[in-house]
Amino acid sequence: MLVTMAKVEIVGPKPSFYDVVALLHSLGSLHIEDLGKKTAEEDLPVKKMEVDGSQSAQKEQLQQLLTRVTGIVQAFHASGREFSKQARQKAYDEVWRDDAVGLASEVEDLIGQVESRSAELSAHENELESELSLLTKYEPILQKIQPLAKQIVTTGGFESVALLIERRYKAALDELKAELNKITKKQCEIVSTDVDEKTTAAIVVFNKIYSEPVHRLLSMENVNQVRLPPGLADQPFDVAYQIVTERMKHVPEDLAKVREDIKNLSDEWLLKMIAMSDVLNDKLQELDTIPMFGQTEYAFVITGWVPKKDLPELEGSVKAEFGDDVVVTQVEMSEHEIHDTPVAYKNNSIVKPFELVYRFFGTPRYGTIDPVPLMALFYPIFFGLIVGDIGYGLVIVITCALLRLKYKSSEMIKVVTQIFGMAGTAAIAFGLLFGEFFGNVLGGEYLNVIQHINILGVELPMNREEAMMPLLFITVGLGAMTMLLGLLLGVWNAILSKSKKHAFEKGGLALTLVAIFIVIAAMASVLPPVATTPGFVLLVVGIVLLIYGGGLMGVFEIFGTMGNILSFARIMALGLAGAILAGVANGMTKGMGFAIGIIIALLLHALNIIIAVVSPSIHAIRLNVIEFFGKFAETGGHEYEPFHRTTGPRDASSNGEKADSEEADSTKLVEQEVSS
Amino acid sequence: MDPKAFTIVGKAFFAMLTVAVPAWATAYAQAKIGTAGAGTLAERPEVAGMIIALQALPETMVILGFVIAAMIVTTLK
Repeated sequence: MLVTMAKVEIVGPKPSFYDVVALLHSLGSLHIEDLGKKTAEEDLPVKKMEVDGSQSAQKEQLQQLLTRVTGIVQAFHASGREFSKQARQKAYDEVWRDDAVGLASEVEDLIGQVESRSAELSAHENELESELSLLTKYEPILQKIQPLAKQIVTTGGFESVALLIERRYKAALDELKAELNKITKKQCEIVSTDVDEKTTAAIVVFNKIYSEPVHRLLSMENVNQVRLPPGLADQPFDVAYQIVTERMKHVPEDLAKVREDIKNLSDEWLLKMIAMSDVLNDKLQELDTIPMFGQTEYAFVITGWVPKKDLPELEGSVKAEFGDDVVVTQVEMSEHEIHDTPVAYKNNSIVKPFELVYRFFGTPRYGTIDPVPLMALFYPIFFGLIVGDIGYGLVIVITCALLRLKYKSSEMIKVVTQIFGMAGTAAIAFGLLFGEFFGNVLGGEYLNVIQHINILGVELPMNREEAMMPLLFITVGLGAMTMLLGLLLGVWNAILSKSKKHAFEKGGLALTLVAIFIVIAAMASVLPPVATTPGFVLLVVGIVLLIYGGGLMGVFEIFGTMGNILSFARIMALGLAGAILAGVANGMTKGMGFAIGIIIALLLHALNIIIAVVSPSIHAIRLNVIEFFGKFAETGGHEYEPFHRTTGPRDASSNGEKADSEEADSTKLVEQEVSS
Repeated sequence: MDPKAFTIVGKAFFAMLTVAVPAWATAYAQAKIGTAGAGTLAERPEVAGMIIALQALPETMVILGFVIAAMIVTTLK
């Protein structure tokens, strides 16, 4: 269900404005209405609150400080470090200053104590990392040409260039030699050797006076030259190799030492830096929200929404801090404002995971029915009816349990496994109804353990492959019931939204459907023939109401709704396809010999389980969202986003002080800072 | 040909067509929706849920085709 919200107006003298904003920010329960935007669109007795020059300067200063803090946090490589909620809150409180100027000065001072040291260590680390990367790149190349380099002794007048070429192009060295002889007037030599299975190394020695034309030729011929890094460029290859191997020994040690120093610095300062980043972000957010408020000549006006249960606390806090100077009033919402009201869900732990699924399709409008609890009820039913296999259900439930055990801390895994856990349990329940355990394993062809029972004239378990038609009627009947429920909820929604026409349209359509069922049932002798006349009367009444509510085009809704009902036949079709595939998999053990057959059967069952997870999920969601919710749910709302500090918003759905995800946010924030 | 056998072959043939034609139509529609959906998701990832639902929409054709084919097949026995 949706949380009941209250619209509030907070009015007070301008000198108290920033203190009120800071209080609202710390309370974390007010969803601010953008009065600035509203004043531009409507004729209101208030003006938009303007950001003055000093606030702009403060904002700029705080942004610069935030950039510096972010730089320091990045240098600490803090991604993944976690701190307890209490530790973060304590550090936050130590840094927090109501006064932005005082805060800037405090942060400036703290940054000054660590910035230069962290920048120095970070620069040194980068330097060593670059060097190590370069050395790692050159070491194997120089090692390859070592056997040649030792043979070459060059004097000051000669230059040498190392080349690496693929062995299959080795013959090209002769052509290269001929070209170089022309350029250098035979003052050159090429020595080559195979260094591994694929590579040949060559060193070209030539008179320095021909350096430019030789290099030009080599680059034109696209020859892979070994270019040494700037510091080693003047060294002979064997000396360069010695230097490289020497540095390869020392650089990792130096790097480890620098990283240790960074870690020590980080241990001392990271929490403080994160707290500073949080505080600066919060202060900047407060400054950013200023244009969302209104003002008169002497007073400020703040409007927004709070969950009704949080209103007394908001009123109490404002009263305690500002007495009668600042007034909090709950205002009556007009119809237009009801549509603008933000939406917060309040569902129990079983329904909550489905909020995430429904978010993909929109947010319900405030004041209408929340479809999420219905999704939590109908999704497992539809899924279970489609899969309908004890074995497959067990595999799904056990997989969910194992995933939950393995990834205890992952919120996403919790949500997904809860949804599939419920769906798998429903699959087991319907599997009992259909007598399916990995297809027809329990049936007469294999284990033959099924005992048939008769309940109210229906023989159970119901074999899906044999009872196609009854199952088709059951699923289409389920569709009809679901559509009727959807239309009745649509009437209720229309009453809640005070939309008379919609109520008549949905009610007329529901009546028309009932009338059609009565007439069909009477014609099929399910009901006595006398029911035909009242059926036709109801049909006429229903169509009249439908035309009154939805116009002539509303009549087409009848065909659409019949299509929606027939769409539920997919439950039978997909279920049957799955059951047949499972039967085919079991049949493999007979036709191909037991050993090979069982392997192929297992593979086919595995494939069928994967299909059974993906396809029924999509179809069960689709039946909910498109067919069922399409009859009543109204999307287009926007979610409740309270104005809160980085230490966490108030949780609108519980009486807890702050949202549950606060603890997990600690890591996220660090990562966010690093990525920013 | 035995008229009974002819009827059975005819029914089986049309049961096949009842699945095959909507299957082709579904594949065609899903290919179109899939490419358009992939383009949309590149621009607006937030509509992923709606794209998945739209992708599943044409499956109704082949599913209903399968239902009709199943109904035809039941009359073969």
